[in-house]
Order: sequence, then structure tokens, then C-alpha cells
Amino acid sequence: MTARILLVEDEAFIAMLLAEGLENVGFEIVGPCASVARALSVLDQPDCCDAAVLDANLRGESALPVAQALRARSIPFVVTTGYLQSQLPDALATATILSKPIRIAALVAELERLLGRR
Amino acid sequence: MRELQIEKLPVARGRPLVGVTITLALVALAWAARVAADPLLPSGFPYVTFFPAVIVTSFLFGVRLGALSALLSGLLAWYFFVSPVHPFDLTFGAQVALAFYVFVVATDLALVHWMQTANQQLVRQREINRNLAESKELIVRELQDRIRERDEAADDLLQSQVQTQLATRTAGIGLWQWNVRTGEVHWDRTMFELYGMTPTPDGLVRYADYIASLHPGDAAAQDAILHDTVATCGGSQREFRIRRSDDGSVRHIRAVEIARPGADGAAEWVVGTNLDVSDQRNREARIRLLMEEVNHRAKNMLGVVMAVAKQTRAPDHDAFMVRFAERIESLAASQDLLVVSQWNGVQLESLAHAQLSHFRDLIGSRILLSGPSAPLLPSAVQTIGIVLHELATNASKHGALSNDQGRVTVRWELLPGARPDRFVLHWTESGGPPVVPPSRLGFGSTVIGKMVQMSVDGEVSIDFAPTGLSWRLDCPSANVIGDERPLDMQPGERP
Repeated sequence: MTARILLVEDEAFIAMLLAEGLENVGFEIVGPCASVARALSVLDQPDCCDAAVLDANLRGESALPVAQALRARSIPFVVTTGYLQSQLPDALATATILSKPIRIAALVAELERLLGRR
Repeated sequence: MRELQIEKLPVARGRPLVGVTITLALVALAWAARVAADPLLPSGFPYVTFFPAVIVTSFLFGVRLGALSALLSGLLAWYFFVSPVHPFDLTFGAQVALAFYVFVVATDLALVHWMQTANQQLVRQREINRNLAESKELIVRELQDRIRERDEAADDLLQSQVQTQLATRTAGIGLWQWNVRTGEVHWDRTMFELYGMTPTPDGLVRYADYIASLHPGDAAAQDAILHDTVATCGGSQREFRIRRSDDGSVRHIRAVEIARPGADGAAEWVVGTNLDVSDQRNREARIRLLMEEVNHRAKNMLGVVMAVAKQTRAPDHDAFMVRFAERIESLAASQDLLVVSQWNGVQLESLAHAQLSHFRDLIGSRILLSGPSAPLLPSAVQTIGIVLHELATNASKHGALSNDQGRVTVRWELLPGARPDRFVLHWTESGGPPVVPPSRLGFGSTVIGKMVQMSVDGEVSIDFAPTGLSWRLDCPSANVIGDERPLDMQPGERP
């Protein structure tokens, strides 16, 4: 079965690049969502995705509520950010962090590791 | 002081030989005078010339030589002139004469001695008085000197106090002292100002009140440091936070203090200074935050550049470089506007001018811009910017800007009636060559379609009408429009 990846990223170019890269290796993309509200409304739908890629900052807003919602649903996720790990709130910093700019290969490897662990 | 001649008597003190010689000479002279006068005198005056000798001797040389002169004179007179002359016969007559002589010379000697003693006492008294007067003068002078020195020291102290007060007040430095023995803490006016407290009349503050005014997170540690300063009679430099009593605001204080030992060597006083360094701390925090923000945005931008590079398609490398460079230029132009506007409030009209700068001569004639004031959110600036860039590039290659007559209308509206409020942007071309819908969707199509829709949660409609391309974006205005207030990042804000 194809794994569905929720993509939460406000930078449209990056979202498109990641979506294309992930689709090329066989993932199905949910989103991309550019805001916290949008991401939370997608997460409200039952069984929406198997894993998530979460930008730490969405239109100047912290992605912390999305991370908490993902944790509550036991959905594994990767945090992408241009910030340093030390600048992130704990709930985000304890997740797997990929520093921008993102290499698709590294993201794919991390998602497969997370999905394999489940 | 002039010494009176009479006060020099008796003379020749300390020179006994002179006194004795003159004494003997006077006695001899008296004897000679008596012998010479003997035929002239009636009987019964054996001592008459000796009395002056005794008186003069005792007057000049004191009672001792006076007594010697009296003894010798007595013996000479007794021997030579008291009847019977020559043998020392103690007849009744001789006894009366000797007794008379002894009584007279004893009286003389006593009077002279008494007079000289009184005289010497007077001299001593005078000496003492003179010494006293000199001492008094010395003491008065000394006192005057000391008073002047003390006045000068007091002046210096006062001046130094005024200077210190002025300096500390100007620099906003609060001074405090803590009497460890009594537990009293004394603050100056600046201290009360720093802590936002009403000054007490005597400047006294309870130690417990001071500790209570510290930030709860720092109070215990600062209490421990102060007690350590007392225990070791040392000093410390530290920084801590306080909660101002008047408005509850948290301020950063830099403190320096030192303990002063009492007579037993244990700390008796602790004196210290407080300085509010909050502004400096906030500036540092803001600079740190800005650096972090720059880092974040730079890395984000690199991600965008990577995405643009990945999705820019061209038949060869040169063509790729031209298109890629144009897109990077578009991103850079948006970036410039963001920096100029301090990351907020870039007007859509300014953005359109920047993105259409290749066609600036046509703006106002073939390109018409119209719409209300529309300050854009930072996140929308780049998106709308690259959309305008792609639309203009397409128009210059295939549309209304590819010939000499075509027109482009860029029009935006804010529609407050709907819930949520809507933002609508139109790009309408006319007068260009007949429009043919593209056979293949390239990067430009993605940008003006999927990308912008996703970015602002909007709807895009494209009409490839033969008379000209018509493009329309409709989205919640909250996703695009901000306000004109420059973005004010507060320390502690985190992604």
C-alpha cells in the first residue's frame, strides 16, 4: 500500500519541490498545507496520513500545535526548518530535524525509517 | 621679655671662687675700714663697718656667702674690737655684743634671703606665665590649623558627595548599604526608582522586602550570594532579574557589592551598586533574534532557489541560465522590498512596479495598475511577486507585451462584505496576437496556478480567450494582506 505523507510547508516552491520528489519515489502527498489551521483541519479527518513532513514555522506562526496533534494521533513526523535546533521549542526539537535546504534523498530515507519503525 | 637687674641676684651663681674671693675681700675691706675708723669711733661700735659687708655680700652672693661673711666679720670684730681686744674672751659685755651682732646679721640675712627667695619665685612665676602664654598661643594656632583642615576636608567630602550623587544619578546607578549587625538596609533615591518603589523617609528597606522584589526565579540564588559575601567578607558581581513594584515589569540588574569588616574582622557592612541593564539585554536579545531570523530566511531562500532551479526547464544550458537568472532576479526584487519595509507592509503597487521594471516605460500607457492600498504580508510578497514576474514574462513572449499595441490591466480589489474578507487580483491582456492555450505546462504555469493557490489558499481561474489572456486570483484577504506596522519582533518569540 502506498504510504500517504502529509506535507506542511508554507513556502510554495519548497512544497512543490518536496511533493514532486516524494511522489517520484512512490509516496502519495496529502496537502501541501501552508498554514497551521489548514494542517489541523486535515488532521481532523480520520486516518488522514501515515507520516508527516512539518515546517517549524508557518507564515510566522509556530507549527507546535500541529506537532502536538501529530503526537496525539501517533503519526511520526519529520521537522524541517531553517532555524537552529536550539531555537526550536522542545516539542519540535525532540523530533527528527532536517535543516533547510532539504535534500529529497535525505527526507525519503528519514520517512522510510519512521514508517518502517511503526 | 626684659629681665630686671634685681632679678639677676644673687650673682655669680655657679662661680663659687669669685663669690668667695669677693666675700673675703669685702670682709677684709670692712676690717680695714674699722681699723681706720677706730680712733674716730667712740667705744661700743665693734661691728659698725662689718654690717654693710654682710648685707652687701648676702645681697650679691646669697645667704651662704652672707653667712660666711657674717661669721668671719663676727670673729674679726670679736677679736679685734670687742673689749677686751685680742683674746676671744667671753665676758658678759662680749656676750651682749655678740648676741646683738648675731641678732642683727641673722635679721639681715633672713630679710635678704626672704627677699631673694620671693624674687626667684617671682622670676619662676613669670617664666611659668610666659611658658603658659606661649603654650596657649601654640594651642590656639594648632586648633585653628585643625579647624581649617577639618573644614577643608568637609568641603572636599561634600564636593565629592555631590559629584558622586550627580554621577550615580546621571548613570542611573543605585547605591545601597546593608548593616549586617542591625539588619538594616539603606537605599538611595535611585535604588527606589530602579525597583519602582516609593522612597521611605529614612531610606530604610527591610531585607526581606528587598529579596521579595527580586524575580522569583532569581531570589533564592541572590540571597545565597549575599550571605556568602557576608560569610567570607568578600564581594561579588552578578546579574539578576527583578520585578518592579509599580508596574510588575521584569528588569535586568547588574550589581556589584563588597563587604566591609568591623573591628573583629567579620563583615559589618555590605555596600553595593545596582544598574538597570535591561535595555542592553533587550538589544542583545533582539540582535540575536534578528541573526537567527536572517539565518532562517537565508536557508529558506536557498530552498526556494533550489526548487526554482529544479523546476526551470530549458532546451539548453544558456537558455536555462537566462530563465533561471530572471526568476532569481524576481525573488531578489521582492526581497529588497521586504528589507526596505522591514518585513511588512509592502504595497502591492510597489511590488508590481518592481516586478514589471523591464516594462517601466509602458506603465501608465500600455500597462495600467489600479487598486486600493494593499499592504502585503511578508509571506505573500514573494508569491505575488513571482506570479507577476511569470505573467509578465509570458505576456512579453506570447501575449499583449509581445507586440506594439497590446495592453495589460492589473487590478486588485479588497472585498470586505464576504466572510472571510476576500482579496481578488486580475491580470487582463488585450490587443496582443491571438492567444493559443499552451500545449505543455511549464514552471510558469505551475507558479500562476498550483503554487499560488497553495500558497494563499486561493482559487485561480485562467481564461485563454483568443482576444487576450485573463487570469484571476481569489483568496481570503487575511492570507495576503497585513498591516503597515513594521514587524516588531519581541525577544523570546520563537518559531
